[in-house]
Parts: sequence; C-alpha cells; structure tokens
Amino acid sequence: MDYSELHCFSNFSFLRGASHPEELVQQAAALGYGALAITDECSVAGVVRAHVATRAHPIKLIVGADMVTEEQLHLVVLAPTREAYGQLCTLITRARSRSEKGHYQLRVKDLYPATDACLFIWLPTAGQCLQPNEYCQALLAATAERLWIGLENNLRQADADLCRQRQWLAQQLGRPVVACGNVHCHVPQRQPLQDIVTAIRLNTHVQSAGFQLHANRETSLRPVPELAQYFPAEALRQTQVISQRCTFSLTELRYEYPREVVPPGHSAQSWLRQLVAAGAQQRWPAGVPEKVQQQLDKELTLIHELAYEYYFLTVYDIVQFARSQRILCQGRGSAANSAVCFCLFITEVDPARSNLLFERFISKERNEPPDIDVDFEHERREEVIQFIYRKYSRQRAALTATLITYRIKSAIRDVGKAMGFDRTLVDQLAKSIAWWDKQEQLPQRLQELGIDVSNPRIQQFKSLVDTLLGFPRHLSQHVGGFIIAAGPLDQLVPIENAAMAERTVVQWDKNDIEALGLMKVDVLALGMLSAIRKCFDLLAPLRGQRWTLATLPAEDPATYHMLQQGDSIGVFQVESRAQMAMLPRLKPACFYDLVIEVAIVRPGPIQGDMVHPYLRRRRQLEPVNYASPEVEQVLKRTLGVPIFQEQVIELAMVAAGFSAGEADQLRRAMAAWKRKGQLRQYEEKLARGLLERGYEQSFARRIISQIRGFGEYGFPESHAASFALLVYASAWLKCHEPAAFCCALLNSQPMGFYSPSQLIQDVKRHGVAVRPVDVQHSQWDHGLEPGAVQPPGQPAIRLGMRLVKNLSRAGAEALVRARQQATFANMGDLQRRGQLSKRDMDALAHANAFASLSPHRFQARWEAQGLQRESPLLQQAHQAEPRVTLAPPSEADNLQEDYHSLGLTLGRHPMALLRDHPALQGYKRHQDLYALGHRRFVRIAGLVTGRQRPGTATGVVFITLEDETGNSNIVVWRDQVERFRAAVVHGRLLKIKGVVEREGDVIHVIAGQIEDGSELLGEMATRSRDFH
Amino acid sequence: MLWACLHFPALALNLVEQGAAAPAPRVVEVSHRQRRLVLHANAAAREQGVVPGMTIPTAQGLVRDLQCRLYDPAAEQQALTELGHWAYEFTPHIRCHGQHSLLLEVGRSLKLFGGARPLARRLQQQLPAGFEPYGLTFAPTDMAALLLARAHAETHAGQALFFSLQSLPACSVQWLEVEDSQKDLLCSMGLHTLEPLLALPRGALARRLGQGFCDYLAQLNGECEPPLPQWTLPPYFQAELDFVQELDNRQSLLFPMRHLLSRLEHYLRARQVAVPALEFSLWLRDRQRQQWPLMLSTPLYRVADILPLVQLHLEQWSLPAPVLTLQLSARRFLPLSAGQQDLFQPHPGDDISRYQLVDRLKARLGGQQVHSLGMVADHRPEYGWCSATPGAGQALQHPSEQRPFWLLRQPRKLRASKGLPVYGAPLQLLKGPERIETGWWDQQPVNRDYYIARRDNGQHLWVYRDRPSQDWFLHGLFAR
Repeated sequence: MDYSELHCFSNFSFLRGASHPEELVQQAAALGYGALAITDECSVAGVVRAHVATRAHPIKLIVGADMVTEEQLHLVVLAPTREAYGQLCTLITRARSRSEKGHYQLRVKDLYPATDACLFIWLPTAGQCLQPNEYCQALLAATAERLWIGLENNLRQADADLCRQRQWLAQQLGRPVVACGNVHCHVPQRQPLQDIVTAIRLNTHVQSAGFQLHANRETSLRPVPELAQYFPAEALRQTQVISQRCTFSLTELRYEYPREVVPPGHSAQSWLRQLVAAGAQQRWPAGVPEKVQQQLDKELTLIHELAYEYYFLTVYDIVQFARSQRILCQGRGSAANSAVCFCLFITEVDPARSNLLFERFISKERNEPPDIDVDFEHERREEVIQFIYRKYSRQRAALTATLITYRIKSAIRDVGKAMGFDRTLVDQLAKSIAWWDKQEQLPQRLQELGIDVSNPRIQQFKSLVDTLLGFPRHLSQHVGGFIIAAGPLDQLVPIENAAMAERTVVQWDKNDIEALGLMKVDVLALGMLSAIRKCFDLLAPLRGQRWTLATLPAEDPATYHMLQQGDSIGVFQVESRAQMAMLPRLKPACFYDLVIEVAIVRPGPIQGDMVHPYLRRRRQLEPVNYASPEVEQVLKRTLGVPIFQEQVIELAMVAAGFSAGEADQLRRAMAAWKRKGQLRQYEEKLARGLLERGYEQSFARRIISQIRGFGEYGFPESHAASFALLVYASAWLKCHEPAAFCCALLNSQPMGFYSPSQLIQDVKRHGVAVRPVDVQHSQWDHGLEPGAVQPPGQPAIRLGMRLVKNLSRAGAEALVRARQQATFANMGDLQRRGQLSKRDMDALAHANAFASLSPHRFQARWEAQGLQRESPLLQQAHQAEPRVTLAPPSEADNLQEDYHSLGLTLGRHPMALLRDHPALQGYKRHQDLYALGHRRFVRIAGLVTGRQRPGTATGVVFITLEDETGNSNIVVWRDQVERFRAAVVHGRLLKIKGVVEREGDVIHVIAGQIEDGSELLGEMATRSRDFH
Repeated sequence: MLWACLHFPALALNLVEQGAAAPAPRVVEVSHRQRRLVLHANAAAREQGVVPGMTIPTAQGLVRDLQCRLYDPAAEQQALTELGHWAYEFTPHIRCHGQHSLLLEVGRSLKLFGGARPLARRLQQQLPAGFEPYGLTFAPTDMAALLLARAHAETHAGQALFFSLQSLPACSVQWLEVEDSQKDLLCSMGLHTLEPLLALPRGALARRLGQGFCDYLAQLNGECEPPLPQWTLPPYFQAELDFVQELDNRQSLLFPMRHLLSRLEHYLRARQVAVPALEFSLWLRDRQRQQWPLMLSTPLYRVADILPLVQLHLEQWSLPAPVLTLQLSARRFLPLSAGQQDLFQPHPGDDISRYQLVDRLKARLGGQQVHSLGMVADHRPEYGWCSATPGAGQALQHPSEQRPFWLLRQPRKLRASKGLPVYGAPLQLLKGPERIETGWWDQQPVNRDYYIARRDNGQHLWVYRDRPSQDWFLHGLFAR
C-alpha cells in the first residue's frame, strides 16, 4: 500500500506546526511516502525550504495550503500545475490582503473561477455532513471534479464517527474520499513541543490549555502500515491518485525583470552602454582614462553575457531617483564596486583612485546572482521605498520577508511561560542568558538561581527550549530587500500585509529567493549617510562650498594621522572600542588600509586568528610567504592572510580544486552556519583537495579553521570597500570640521555607537565650544553659531530643543516662530506668544532652557507651574501673586536635573564633582594613565558607559569607564567577572584596582578588584549602553 | 492637643506570625496582575534573601519550605480596629488612618496617666505582643504625628519619640501623605524638605499643587484642627487566628489561646465588663468545625484568671483533627457589677431558596463541607473534574460526548483473556480505541487506548489498555 501525505503543517504555520519543513521531508522520505504536501495555514512560506531538502532526501513535494473560509469550510488547496500554483498564490494574496498581519479572510466565492486548476480536499464538520448548507453547495460548484472529501483519523474519540459521516457525505455527493494525516509534527516525540507552541499561541500554559491540546501523539507522520489500519483502502489509494496529478515543481518558476527601465527604441544592452558612457563623461570630463575604459568594456561584456543589464538598470533607476531628491546614497555588494556602477553613480568608490581589482566582483564562473545593496540616509529611505511602490505598483514590487525565529532568549521566555514558570524567574533567566551566557551554560545558570537541575520539569524545559530554537515565529519585513517583477508578483509568490501600515511583504525570505534564483535589490538605511549629508548642508553656507562624497580631498594625511591616534569617536564603523584599539596598531595610511580595517575587526577574522599574523606581517616582524603562486595571487593584497570572505571562496577554488558551483555552495553553507553540520562535509572535501594538490597538512588545518571562524561573520571585501569610503568621508569631516560633524551626528540620533553625551564630551575635548539649550537661541535641531575663538575657524555648537525630554516638537517650533517676531521679555511673554502648554513650559524649565529669563531652573519651574493659558486680562490679575524666591540649585542638583532632562550636562562631569569624596581618594583619572608604565598598578574610577562581552573572547567582559578626562578601557577576565558579578553587571560607577597594560598608545586596565560605587551617584541619571 | 501615632508597617505579617507556633521563614503574598508577589517577609525569610516585591516562586526558589499566606486586607483592618479597642483604655479619641496607623488624641488623658512620658511607657508596655516593628510618636497635630511615625517606624522601631512642630521643617517631603507625582514636582523645584515648602505663600502653592495639598499642609502644621474622633466599641467580642501550619495537639493550642484571651481582656477592660461565658471555635483539617464552650462560674475579665480554667478544660475537649483556625468569641457581658441579657436571635422561617439551602447546609455542616462537581479542561479523565463552590462552577463543553458519569477513584486493574479485558466475564469492546497520550508536563503522563465495553448483563463500562504495560483497567461506569 502506498501513501502520500496531503495535509501537513510545518512550523511555518506559526505556533501550530512543530517541525521544520526539512524534518518533515526527511521523515516522509524515510517512511517511504509517495509524496508529501506542505500545506501551511494560508501560506507557502515553508515550501522553498522543503523543496531544497528534497535534494538530499528525494521525495515528491506538493505545494499547497490549509485554509478555513469565512463560512467555516475547512479546505486543503493543492497546486498540481504551474498554473494552479499561480492561482494558489493569488488566492493566498487575496485572503491575506484583507486582514492585518498574520491573519487572513477567505470566502467561498473567491474560489470561483480563480482556482480552476487547483485540487481541493474538503474536511467537513459533522453538521456540514448531515446538512450541507448553501456554502457547501457553492464549494461543490466551484470545485467540480477537483474535490475530494478528506478523512482524518487521529484516534480522537470523535474521529471514528466523523469519518463515517464524511464517507456518507462523499457517497451522497459522488466524490471520492481521501486519507489525510492532519500532521502537525514529524515524529510523535515532538508532541510536547506541539503542546508548548499551542500554549504559546493561546497565551496560556500547558496546564490550562485543556482541550486545545491534542489528546494524543497521532498527528505526526505515521508509518504506512499503521495508517492502513485506520483508513479504508480506497481513501489511501486516492492519495496516490492526487499525488500523480501533481506535477508542479518550484524549479519551474521563472523570473522576469521589469521592462520599463529601458526606454522605447533601446535594447537593455544599448541603453546601459549609453548611460555608462554618459556617466563616464561626467566622471572624467577630461576624457576617460585608457585603463578605466578597458575595464568598462570588460564589465559591460560580462554583464551582457550573463544578461544582467536589467538588474543594473533597475538599481540605477532607484539611485537616480534618490539623487534627484538629494538623498545621499551609496551602493555596496559584489557587483556594486565596479567601474560600471561608478559611472552609474551607484557607488562613489572611484576605480581610478584605489587599487581595487574590480573584475573579481563579478565572476562568470561563480554564477552568483548579482548583488547590489544600496544604503540611503536613514531618515529619508522611506521616500525611496514609496518611489518604488509608485513606479512599479504594489502588484509588482514587494519587500522580501525576514523570518523572525526563536533565539535563546525568546525561547526561554516563551517555553517558561508556557510551562507555567514564574514570570520573574523566566525574565531573570532570559535576561542574564542573552546577555552573558552561552547555551551550554544553561544548567549552571539554573543552579545559580537555586533551581534543581535534576527536576524532571527543568529537564523538559531545557530540551523544549533547545528544540524551539530556530523555529520561525513570524514573517517580518526585510529591512529593505525589494523584489520587483515584470508581471504581477502574486503569480510567483503570495504577498501579505506587514505590521507597518502600507507595507506588504512576500512570503519568502532572502534565502528562499536566492535558492530559486530570483532577483532582489536591497534598499537599506544608514544613519551615517544622514549625518554626512547634514554635515554637507551645514558646511555649504559656512564655507561657501558644497562637498560631495566624490569631491572630498582624497588621501588626506591629516585625516589618516587622526585615525592612527585612535581618535575616531563618531567616525563610521571604526568608532567602536575594538576598532579604536586596532587603529593605532594597524595605522591606516591609505584607502585600502581602511578597507582592511573595516573587515579585520570582526568576529570572523578574530576567531580565525588572522589579526595578529596580519599585523606582524604589516610591521615586517614576520616574513610574508605563500604556499603556492595560486595562493599568492589570492592573498597578496592582504599579506598572505585571508581577511575577506571572497578570499576564502577563491582559495577553495584555486587551492582545493572546488568547482564554481561547489564554491558557491560553500558560501551558502558559511552563511547558514547555524544549521549545524553543513560545513563539515566541505571541511573534509577541502582538506582532501588541499592535500591532493600538495599543500601541507598544517596549511590545510589553518585554512579550515579560518573558514570555520569566518562562518557566520565573514565580511566581504565588496562591502568593506563601500564602507571604507564612508569611513574616510566621516573621518575627513571629523578632522577638518569637528563642530559641523558633531552637530550633524547629534541631529541624526539615534545612530552610531555613542550617546549625545559622549559625542559632546569628545567634541569639547577637541576645543569646540558647546552652548546650552536656551529658549532665546535654540532651534529644534542643534545648530552652529559663530563666535568661538578657539580653534580658529571652528563655529560653536548650540544645542537644540530636540534634546529636551517631554518637550513636544510642535511646541518648540511654535516657540521659534514667536521668537522670530521679537525676543522674549519673560516667561509669561514666551508662553503667551508661543501658546505653549504647561507641559512644554515645564519641560523647558526642567532643561534649564529659561536661563536667560529666570534666575535658575527651580525658579523657572515654579513659574512654569504657575502659568496658565488664559486671556491677558486674567494674566494681569494673577500678577498680584506674591513674589517667591526659591533657593538656587547646587551644582549636584543641576547635574542631576541636566542628566534627567537632557541626558547630558555641559557642566562639570559627575566624576569631577566626586573627585574630593573620601571614597575616591587615590583613584586616578583616564588622563593619568598615560603617565604610567606598562604593568603598573593603578586604581581608577569612572562611570560605566559601555559593557561588552564579545562572542570571540570567552568569558571576558570589556567595560568602558568615563571620567572628566576621557574613556578608559577595562578588561575583566572571566574569574573576576564571576567574583564581582553584581558590580560588573549592575554597577553604574565602578572603582577598579588593576594593572595597566600598554602597547604603544593603546592602554587597557586589567581589573583585579572591582567595587560598585554607584551609591556615590545618588540618583544621577547616567545612561549605560549595553551591547550584546 | 497632643496626638500620638502608632504606626504598624508590617501589620499583615504580624497577624501571620501570631498564628504561628514555631519560627520559620514566612511571607505574606499579594496578587498583582496575575503574579504572586511577596508583600512582607519575616526576618527568617529576609535572612535567606527574600525581599518584598519578589515573586513567590522566586522566593520559594530561595527558601525551600517557605510558608506563604495570602494578604487579607479585611483581617488587617480588623486587627487595626482591635488595636483601636485596646487603645480605648487610654483615650476615647481614636481614629484609624489607612491600614496601618492609629491616631490617638491623648492631650485629655495626660493628667490621668501622669504626663506624656508615663503614658508612652504604658502604651509600650501594654501593647499586645506580636505587633513589632511599630513607630510611636507624639506631636501637636495628628498629621504631624503620622508623618513622623512613618519617617521613624523603621529606624526607631518601638521607641517613643516626642516632637514639636519645629521638627517638621527638617523632614523629607517623601513622607507627606500626598500623591507621588506631587512629591516629584516638589523635588523638581528644589523643595526636598518641608522647610522651604512651609515658607511658601499658600495661595501660590495651591495654584501649583491644588487646594487639597494646602489643606493637608494646614492640618499638618496645626493651622486648622480636624474634628475630634470618637471611638465606639462593638457590642460583642470576636477574634480569630489562622495558623500557617496546622496544629495537631491540644497543648500547642495553649499559646494562641492565651493570645486571643489577652485580646479579650483588652476589650473587657475598655468596656469595663466581665464575661460569664466564652466559646472557642476550631476549624479542622477535615473541614469540621469544633466548638468548645466554656462556662465560667463567676464573671471574669483577666487572662490570668481565665487561662487556668482553659488549661483545665483542654484535657477534656476532643480534637479529632488538626486545627487550621482558632476563634474566640464572647457575646454576653456583665458590668463589673451585675446584669444579664440574651443576645441570641431566633432563626428565620422555613421557606428557603436554593441558595438559602446551600447557606443552610453550609451553616449546618461547615462552609467547606458543601460543594458541587465541576469540569476541568484536561484530556486525562482523572484530571477532568474538580469540586467547586456550589453555583460557581463554569459550564464546559467536553470534546468527547461519550464519557461516563461515574469515574472510579482509582482505575481497577482487569485480568485479560485472549486479548480482551475480563470483568466477571470477558468484556465485549463496542467502540474504540480513543487514544489519550498526554500530560507530560506534570509527571502524571498517561498513554492509554480507551474503549467502551459491554458486560454480559448489558452494563456499559469504560475500560482502557495502558499502552506501555499492555494491562487492562476499568475506569468508569456508564449510567445505562
């Protein structure tokens, strides 16, 4: 007896199915099923994964969906042909488009005639069997001979009766019956997790989920002989009948590019050539250099051979729109840094300016789909997205999905809740784990929380969490991956509503799209582009010159000198603690050094142990040698050490004999590193290939460990190059225009690594004057004011009202408008003319913005509280109020209020105020560290502004301590972390006894003893940013 | 005027501790947004890291055998009221403030007690045991006494503190009896203590913080006087103690009995009466109520006189099960001179409703004795029912219609013959299997195939085969 399962939920029926599509495929194949239909709830989100899995576990895959209509008809819709598949996608799109994210609404009349190629299995209720209503009749009419009556037998009490009733109905209607497994998981052992996801879905716990849980474990994929006991033979035979009618495979899907990017009278090829020629003319008005022209010709030929013209033209079209709106953008990705893209203004990385080898970015052999991501100003990307929707319509353009999956934290939280654990306990556990610990440490953490690890419930908890990890939770919109097609997209893949209004996403994520060879363009948001554009805007009136990314002076020694000092707060990418420590070691001196700098401080190269060899070779402390000329060709530009992802792939090809296709699979395996085990087969193949080609065992081992290290975190050179351009631009601005740059950064918040407080402290240390928020001077945004004497030529920064907590933007703008008539005489005048609410007045008083109108902030607050919006007449009546004089705030009061209202202070640093405190006697400042030698004992105290536990350094915590002179880096080894855990985790002000570790200008303090001094701060609102 | 404030910050915990025989870690819990939280923790619990605000499961994680009692605001209010009765001995001008504070106007009693300090000493000495920690302050206004008592309840627990209004300015605004948002506003204007606050013009202040705030300040500062409260005693005495852990021998009851008797004595003293009879009522583990009446040959009012009689009777009273709650009541009193009256009311008529029947049954059998059957949504039959308060159970549709009404308390194992279960004779399986394999989460998993079977006498039985062992069991009887 053969059997095909035609009704099977995967975990893409979120919180219903309890197995991955891959698991279902593997199990169905192992049980010898004829075919497996994945029929998720109004969705085909899981079918691509199942499709990919059939390559390793051959079984026929049928695409379908489970749907319940508004009229309570429960249907399984199957797609036997490409035509039917298109109909299914359209049907799902229609049902989904009527509802908010995650829901759908289907009506029987939607089926007719739009689904005349689909097959249907109807799962009628007992009532429908006995008394088919008008909707049942409508269903019969719409589906005709493509309808089966499904029988289900999961050994629930009602099943036997219902089966009889359905058989009776089928007989009445003259339709065949077919057996359906109602499968929710691939093996019975998965049932507990199925119960858990049910409880999560119902927002309850398993103990209370009651009859919503399955009564038994019969909703798994069952062996065929067992099924033969439960179903009539005819019902089983019909599964084969249906299966044989289903011939559609996802490999039949073909993608067509949008055609309107080519004007009439042109071919895609001729139009691209024309645009590139015109762009080249613009880029090199004096004539295109011979070398570049050759490069262009080569690239255009390659693009034509691979038929990628439409792709480049589509991206060009989007970039062109952004440029017309003065939205700063920059492309990156394997195809972005080509001479063609430079001429199309997709990238500003000038091929003539750096020594990049462009041809390696597109490779015919590797047969990768072209990949261009374009970053736009983060505050204006929405305009670009709306342009795409306008131009291609919502039928043809949609965002790709991002699959949100269970991470350790969310898994602990949800499983804990579903098992009825105490919420605080679960919170605590989830918090500390996501922060600090690896999954393997779970038992230890449980024990520390006083939980008995041997308790069977805890054992269950742990195993359920492990299984739930990686489960899809919902489809979210990708940050900006657009899929744009020539025809209606919903013939290709269903489109559904995203959580955000006016957003739609397709049901597949980028891996799915890549697996099927479809094209997407990433439209991404980047805060630094906003900041750079705003800086250009600030500088234009000030300097009488409008900079662009391309016109900033190239290879400026002063800029590189600044970076070599590690003076990089605010600079794109290289501002983190780790990057700051690397800059003085790597000492970048040219553009390509920045490309390396961007890529090298990543978990990949660090775990692969590539950083130190590279630095040693760069300083000529060790010889640069290559295992072979082929290897030299790949690794020469990085001194024999693989730093970029592309190099690893190339190595596999030139040194281990991987074919282009295999190399591409290796790249995917690296990207999907988390799905364990996949890399192993490549490791063996690599080792074999390397040894066969005469490389030494040690070389092979090193390459493999480097690949393993790269895994998830490898950074491609093509991205690094584009990022390096922004590193250079932002560094140049910081070096030559610190005031404007800082001001632009502040106006682009939130972004970057540092808080406004830290940015302002840094710019003050560079001698720029920063002036407080003041109702007589401030705008909503931060601005520049003339008048600072030092450094010469640098304007001062006037803080804007956007910093003030609880102040409405409308109120602030009304204030500015009123001020344009005349400056304010007093607070009452301001409130009257600006019609500010009491809340806005109070917020401004809190921020001390009335300093020019009131003796001090306490007094201002008193007055603000007394003001009322009323007619001038009544106002006068109230002026009879007796004059009250409140005591002025102390410096500490001001500090507290500043932090509370603005998140920063322009007054003395809290540590400066605390310096004389007896508890801090003998503690050094950051600045004092430079006078100390390597290995010297030191005591240092400061506010914690950063806490990091890099995945690359087991158990070590890096703490950044801020004081009145700068930021100190504290390294806390694992033992100390354990000993002083509370202080390390919660301390806001730390007192540390330790040893100075010094390498050139890079200074760390290795913590020996850590004491929490937070009580010294009282209620001071220091904000610590915790990075995970 | 002179006001005394007695402030009991941990009154709910005090009540729990009074009912406890031996020291152990204990907490009072409250339910907040479906979470069980620690409201108070006793010293033993705090020592092991339990703090108020923590959730109960977390606290249980820290203390293995933590005893938890649900917060009972009514009992707390009742206890405060009883403390008011006790204080009646010192002054008739008493007011309860909130759940935790007693305000006594003692200015008129000073002469009687020979001044404020002797009065304070008497208060301290006579305060019934088991209400620690408490704050005791004296001040010229009720609100000042309250504010100062709250400010010092933890730091100067049990000490009598005397204040004039001059000590108010130094106090922090956090102790004011006003909204938190009002306190935040004061701090934001630099008004951290009462000193600058009291100096501000009231009109301007009212404009910013409201008239109610200023009225309160006036009362605090003695600028206006509240009406003098008058305390009235209830017509009869009743007090009870809930035990955290049930008590299972008569001797261990002596300590809580003494406690209740001392509360009775305070009541009797305040009313200047004596009792001719009293009654202990005990609620037992098996939900029986036991009544131990005690007739006194002469009216008495002192613990010292009553306790020996109780001790004597304790031996004769029967105690069939451990005790959960002990109650002492006295309904008849004689003035220390003489007199008698009957407080008993006759029972009402016979015509009763369903609810009255339930009430009547409860009154007759004890409240815990009457219950109805309810359904629970659980696939496992033995977890599919519960006993519920009559009338309170909710209707529940079971997905399976064919379930027996009678379920055996324990499934009975059946012999099998030729693969069929035998109950007297081999049974005929009519319907099945219905597979139930669930309950993995509470270590009571079942894995069974249920069948409806027929005996040769026509009776329908519900039997199952345990799948791991393949044994047959009888689980239920159908009514036909």
